Amino acid sequence: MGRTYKFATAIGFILICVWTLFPLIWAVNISLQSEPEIKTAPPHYYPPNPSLKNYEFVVNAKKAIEERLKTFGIKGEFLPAVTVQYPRAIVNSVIVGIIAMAYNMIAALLASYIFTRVRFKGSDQLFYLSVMGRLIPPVAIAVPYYIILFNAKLLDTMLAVILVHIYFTLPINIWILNTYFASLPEEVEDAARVDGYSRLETLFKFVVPMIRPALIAIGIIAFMTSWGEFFFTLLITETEASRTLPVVVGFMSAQPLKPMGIITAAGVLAMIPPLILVAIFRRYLIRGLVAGAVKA
Amino acid sequence: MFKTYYFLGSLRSTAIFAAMSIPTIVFASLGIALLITRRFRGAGFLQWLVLIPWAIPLVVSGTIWKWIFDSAYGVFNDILYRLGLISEYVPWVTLPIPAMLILLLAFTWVMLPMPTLLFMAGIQSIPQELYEAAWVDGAKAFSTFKSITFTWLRPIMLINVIYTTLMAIWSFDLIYTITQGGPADFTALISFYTYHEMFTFLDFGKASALSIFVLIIGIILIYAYFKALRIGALRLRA
Repeated sequence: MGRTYKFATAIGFILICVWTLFPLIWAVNISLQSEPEIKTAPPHYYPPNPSLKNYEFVVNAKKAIEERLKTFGIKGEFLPAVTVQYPRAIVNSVIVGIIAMAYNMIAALLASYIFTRVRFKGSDQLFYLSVMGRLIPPVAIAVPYYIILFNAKLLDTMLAVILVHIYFTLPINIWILNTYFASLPEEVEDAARVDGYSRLETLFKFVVPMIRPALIAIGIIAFMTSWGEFFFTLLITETEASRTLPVVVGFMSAQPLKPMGIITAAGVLAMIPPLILVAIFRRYLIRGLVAGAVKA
Repeated sequence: MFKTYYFLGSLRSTAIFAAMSIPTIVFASLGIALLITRRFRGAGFLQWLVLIPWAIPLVVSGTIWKWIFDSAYGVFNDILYRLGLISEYVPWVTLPIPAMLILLLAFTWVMLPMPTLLFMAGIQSIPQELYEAAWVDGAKAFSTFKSITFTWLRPIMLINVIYTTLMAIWSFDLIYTITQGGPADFTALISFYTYHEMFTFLDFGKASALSIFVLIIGIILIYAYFKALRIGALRLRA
């Protein structure tokens, strides 16, 4: 492992940074400019008069709109009023995401454990069925889903949003976890069972530490899928009581004159909760104690 | 449905889009995951960084990409102009092939995190003893990779390929924000076409037929992947 290796690593490091960060830096750059500054050619590579006005607007739209009405009357620049729902939407999204994540981690763990370790009649078929449900294009099940939720009187509730997001994430998460379970040596569990531990004890004491990276990974997948899901949430929500972030941001950008500064500010702020979550979880993602657990 | 002009066009666009995006995303994510699970200073930062594109709502990332390639205020045009490669700003989104490439770029950017994360978790679960044994046996780096890393990651590879395929043939949000299916329906992928049949023309029968067609394509592709990666069943058990 000499100098060429180090050099290659450094190149890779830089490439990944540029690839991931360029659009983000550009978004931050735009969000710190005012609308006329954004719409100039050639574009500004850094904000000429950096201001947090867009962020203030996104966080407290009501106050900002009132202030502008006072100073400019109704002739001021065009502002998307739906931004008023933005703070509530972030809270909704976090709640929905955390619940979907927790449910996914517990349910997928139990389901995969049973699917891979217990032989019962129809287990394969049950598994295929759960995966098949996910293979249907979302557009095709949108209307049936709407009707079901309508009849259950669950439209426009957070519960409905959570249910839909779990429906979206659980099958693929069970499948992902299955492949990790299949690669685990069963001897540890057999030994634990011989020592008199029950199935659940075996699962939580011995198996969970071994598949921790995968468990964390599916948790992150569940949260992120829920965080980004747009189409179904748009369909089943009507008021700010249950609208999640992508829907509100979608409305904000579906305006005749796209307010670029406000949209990018909303996007930059929306990154913060998931990034905190990933920062907390990342260290558990790395090097699950696979080798150590087999010895124990 | 099969007779309409739009159907064949959208099928062709979807095929182009899928054939270009799926290999790019799967191999790039594998490469990134292999790099950032090694031990070097800054690896932890990269493991966090690569997941960022996932955290932004698709509407916003689509809007940002579109803005970068904007015909009047885009930074891409400005860079090319300053380098002297173009003499005046080009409206990239209205040209067929550039529009498709922009869509691919944005799609790759937003899609990479999930396969990377799965490969990362997969690489973490490879028992280190295997590598030690290979090292003791004096195996070459490439054969170690082929026989240990790649074999171990094959089931995860399968999931990633299938997931990326589904996302590619269903992708809607980005098309809607960036190209709106244009120019001349060149980027109207089959999902976009279905959406229009359903919600613009309210032709539910045609839309359902289209989505069943997409479902069948998906199943055929998945079956082909199983064969290609030589995984017989879904491998429920070890």
